[in-house]
Amino acid sequence: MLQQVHFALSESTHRVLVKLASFLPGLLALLVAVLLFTLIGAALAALVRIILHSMRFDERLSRSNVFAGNANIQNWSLSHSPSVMLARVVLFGCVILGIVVGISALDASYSNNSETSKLLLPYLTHAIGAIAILLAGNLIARFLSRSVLIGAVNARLHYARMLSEGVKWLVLVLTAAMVLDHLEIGGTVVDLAFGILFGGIVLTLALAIGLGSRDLVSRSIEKTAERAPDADPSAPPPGGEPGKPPIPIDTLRHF
Amino acid sequence: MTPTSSDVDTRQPTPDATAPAPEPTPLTGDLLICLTPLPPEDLEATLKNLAGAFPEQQTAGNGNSNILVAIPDAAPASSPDSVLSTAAPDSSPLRLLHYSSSSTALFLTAADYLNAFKMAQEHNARACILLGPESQTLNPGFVRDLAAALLGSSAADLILPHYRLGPNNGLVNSAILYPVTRALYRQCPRFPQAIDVGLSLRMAERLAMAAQPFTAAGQNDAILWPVAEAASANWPVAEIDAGPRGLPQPASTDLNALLSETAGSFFSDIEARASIWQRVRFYQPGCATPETPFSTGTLPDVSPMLEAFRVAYTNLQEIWSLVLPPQTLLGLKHLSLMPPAGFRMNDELWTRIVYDFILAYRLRTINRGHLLGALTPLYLAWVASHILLTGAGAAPEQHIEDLAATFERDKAYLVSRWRWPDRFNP
Amino acid sequence: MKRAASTSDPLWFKDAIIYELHVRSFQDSNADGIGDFPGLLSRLDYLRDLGVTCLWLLPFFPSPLRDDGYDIANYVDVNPSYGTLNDFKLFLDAAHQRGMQVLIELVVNHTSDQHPWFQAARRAPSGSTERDFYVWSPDNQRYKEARIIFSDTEKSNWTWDEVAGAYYWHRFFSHQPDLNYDNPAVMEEVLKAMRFWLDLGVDALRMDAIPYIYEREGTNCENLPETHVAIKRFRAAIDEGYSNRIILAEANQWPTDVRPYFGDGDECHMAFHFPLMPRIYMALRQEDRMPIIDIMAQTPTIPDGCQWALFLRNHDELTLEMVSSDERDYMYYSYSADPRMRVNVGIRRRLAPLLDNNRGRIELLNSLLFSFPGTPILYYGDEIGMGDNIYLGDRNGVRTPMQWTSDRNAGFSRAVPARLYAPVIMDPIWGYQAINVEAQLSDQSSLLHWTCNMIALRKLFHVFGRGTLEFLSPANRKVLAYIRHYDAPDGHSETVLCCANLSRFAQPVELDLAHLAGRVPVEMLGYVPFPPITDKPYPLSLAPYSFFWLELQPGPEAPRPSALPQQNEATEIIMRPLKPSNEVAENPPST
Repeated sequence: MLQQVHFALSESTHRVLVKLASFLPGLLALLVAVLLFTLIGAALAALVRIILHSMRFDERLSRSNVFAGNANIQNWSLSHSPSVMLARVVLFGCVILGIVVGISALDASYSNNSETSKLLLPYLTHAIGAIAILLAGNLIARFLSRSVLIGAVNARLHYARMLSEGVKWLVLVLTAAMVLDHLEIGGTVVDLAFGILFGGIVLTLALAIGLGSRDLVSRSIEKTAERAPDADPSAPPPGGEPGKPPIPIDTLRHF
Repeated sequence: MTPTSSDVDTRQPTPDATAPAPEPTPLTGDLLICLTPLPPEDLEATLKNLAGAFPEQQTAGNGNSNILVAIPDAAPASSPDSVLSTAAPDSSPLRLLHYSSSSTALFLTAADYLNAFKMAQEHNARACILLGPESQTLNPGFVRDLAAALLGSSAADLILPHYRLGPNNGLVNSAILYPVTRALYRQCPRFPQAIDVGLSLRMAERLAMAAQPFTAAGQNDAILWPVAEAASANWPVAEIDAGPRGLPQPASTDLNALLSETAGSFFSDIEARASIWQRVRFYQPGCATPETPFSTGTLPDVSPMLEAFRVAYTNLQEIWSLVLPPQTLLGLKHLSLMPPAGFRMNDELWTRIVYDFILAYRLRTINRGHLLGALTPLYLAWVASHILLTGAGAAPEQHIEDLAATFERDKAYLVSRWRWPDRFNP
Repeated sequence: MKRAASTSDPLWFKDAIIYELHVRSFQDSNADGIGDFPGLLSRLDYLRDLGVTCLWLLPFFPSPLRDDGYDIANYVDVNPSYGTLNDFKLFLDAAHQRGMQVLIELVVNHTSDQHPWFQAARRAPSGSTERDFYVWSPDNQRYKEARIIFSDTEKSNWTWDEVAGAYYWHRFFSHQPDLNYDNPAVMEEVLKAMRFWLDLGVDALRMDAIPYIYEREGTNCENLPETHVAIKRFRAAIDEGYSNRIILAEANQWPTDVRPYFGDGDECHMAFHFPLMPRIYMALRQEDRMPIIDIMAQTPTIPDGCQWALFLRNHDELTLEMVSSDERDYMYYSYSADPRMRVNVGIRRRLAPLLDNNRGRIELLNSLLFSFPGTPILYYGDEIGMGDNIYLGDRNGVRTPMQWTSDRNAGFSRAVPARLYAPVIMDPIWGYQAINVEAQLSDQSSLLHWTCNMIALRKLFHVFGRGTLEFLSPANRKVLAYIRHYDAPDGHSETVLCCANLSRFAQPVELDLAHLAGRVPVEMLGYVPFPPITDKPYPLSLAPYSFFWLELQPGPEAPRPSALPQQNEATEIIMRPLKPSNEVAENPPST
């Protein structure tokens, strides 16, 4: 019996050591792949930066039609110029590629548990995607909330802050739902909860806008009525007769 | 948009049909007057005014006495050529040119300056006058004086009109553009972003060069700042009395959008010229100071503006606190507690607000669109205060001059904070 | 015979540098996550080397700790979390051996509702002595004019007690019932507690919330005349039985209302100058000396044997009670953009975060603290520029563990981090990895070294603690200039010109020092002589946030008239040996 115990122990030790022995080269391959691709990425990033700098990419982009029309994109206060950002994208793209290559190398060597890495890799990408969605959603939520706040304030809506908070939470809830969906957590429960919450927020905002914008609508109607032509056809046009100085009228002209 | 000019001179005799058509000779003239797109009746009125302003050819020295009038290509119901021939005698120096333009902007745009220079260069003009929308309301005498000033021996490179507007007109100019331009560049034109402008050829060229990056990027409606350009080149700027003028209606009634666009362009220009306006500058002579009519009619209703300010004060505190220092925030708090009748924003407070917004624009403290949106309620508060002040008996122009003097005195604040943007300040 | 103090100088408090600390926050020796007396004892050498001469300990008595120890459940013992009475005695002796005095709290106004006195009072019959230890009322309508001090948490100064079947009076938290000094037994008990600690050797007592100990209908229940009778009683008891012990009054009032707390030299020895503190911050932010000048102009003279206690920050919020509403708003806008930084009527931030971690500002304010007339009080951690944690409740954000090293728990404790009484500051700017004593000790340019040097410099001169104050009025309001002067009993005098630039930009200034013409200013840190003062305005240029301490030394002495015959330039003095006249010296001296 002792011999059997001894045999069992040595057998299991051997098995573990074999597994470890087969795992280690894969791990080393992963590290080498990551390191190699990082170096390649750094070189490519430097090359990209040099090329973009010589093309005056930043200046062309700042003057281009696409961004000029969308002042908001241009003013997102990126702390780095577009060429630096692109170079970084190249660098990190290579790093990620290296990680992917390394993981598949690990998988190849650690063939017993190939399922693990097959499951791990897509989930890893989903997780990265979820993080990206979360970050983007946060940024968009803050930006939109502030835009709505300022727009509502300038429209003299007293519930501007509530509107702004509502929009922010709308975007955040949507983001959270997308993240959970991306991570395949919760399934239909998440969809349902999101639907209820989203619908609730939208209903609240609609009620708030409907009840609170009566002033805005009435002001808008008044303005339209003011701009209608005068009843008296003999009255001179607002610009005065051609060639003659205009008749002063007591309205504000900001411009 | 490449301008094309027609060299058709309607006064030339019809050429012989059997001979090959000769190459049209480009018209030349001393002065080029560019008109922006106008409705037909307004164009007709403008041309009649111009004909009245320049009734006879006058040779002056070596100058070509032609005055070229460039009108946009949009075909009016009655041909401007026939209008001109009806209105002007044969001895009139006016000659028509056509060019392509579809600008509908409130101010003169980058495309306007570029077109004007190209035509001036093509037709060997020594100077050009750009007349903006509603030019039919201009006093013909002003155009004549402007032309004389441009073509005179001691001409300034940039001549701006001093309009006689009512106290409730051109408020953005009174509140921001004029005081800031005067403080930073020590230039006194009352309307630095005028609707009409007179340029020497070299000034036109400089503005065209400034316009080119915008037009190349498709931003034909970009706003340029001629006074700043002239100050950068250290060229003389002058101003002449233009009398009353009709103000064009903006296409959009969204004050926030208009103010954001104008202020944004202005602040960007200030940022780009920091090295110019931070030098010590001295006043240049040559500004007209005509009396401005003081309307004693009914005051506009300021309660919407006060309401806008109060709503903003309740909701935008957080944004304002990112831009404005504690002393200014305290001033706004006092302002929010003032009764409507006694609502007064003192000049120092408004000066600091404008300077701090210029700084925040430069530093990108917050998104620029948001920043300019947060300025609108403060501007409305100033307008309300200005109207109430003039309603109480203060002369509006005097108030604007006092405000401009305050901006000048406080320039050191802007310079010091520009150079050291630390926010630990009063 | 009077019990001796640890120091023989009756005016030791005038030259003292007081260091305020909480035993709980300073050093933990037994790894329970809470600072204690043995831990504090282990850090006494650090405090001695820092140069402080008096340690002010926040309450360490048994307490339910619902107000960080100010709710006392036993006046004559030590909270077991901090050690034993014996540990305290060991600490006290060790402090005295190192030449440091010890100042402890005597919370005279109120106790914890867990104190045996209150537990007995609520059960005692109405009208009995035990009952009358506190202020009771069948309704909550009495003393309507008294303000609510902790306005964030309390809605009334009365709270209903079910057991007693009555309302009890409290000026602070509802779990801190006010003692009733109209009951003579209360005074006797408090005197007993006071004597207990003085007998152990404690050098000074801080009378917490002293203005509120009496209540009278129709008044605001603050600064009543009876209060001063009580203080005189305390003072008499101390003077009778002890030598060189002092009382420090905590009276958050306008300077004219604090003046009575000094009496005619027969009440408190020291009192905090509360209104000056926010005005220092205001002057810095506004870059204008006027807030400081104004409040000092309103500060009355105090008896010779008394002293103001000055501070920049303490364990409480930066109180804004003694400022106008506009000034309060300005301070909120300037120093607490985030509403979470505000509590009650004040700002709960430490010194360095208030000043945006700007070294220049920190040094400038400390220079004012050390050179203004009064005894400076340093709050623990401010000598290294510690940060705060506004997410902790109440005022606990400024009471985080002392940051000693960059090791686990900032070297404060070996306990599991979750066990600490409060988390250490961990962010990249203020965290213990960046700001700690060990790192700053090894960095000669650190704030800690600077503070040590400034304290040492201050201690060389009596003028800062004992001298007069004269403000100068230069045209440039961004410069605060003042002269400190002291005539010592032994005949020597010290005159120091202090000049501080409150602005973030360099400033020129011209000072009218004609009355000091002939003196030579010598910069005290580097001992560098400046040009002598003349009857013309004295120009100085000050860098951003800089300050000068210039000792005005007497000018060089005029040469004394010589007893020897006058000689003109052509005459040479030739030293000749005594030889016969027909011989000539080999080497005649050159002219």
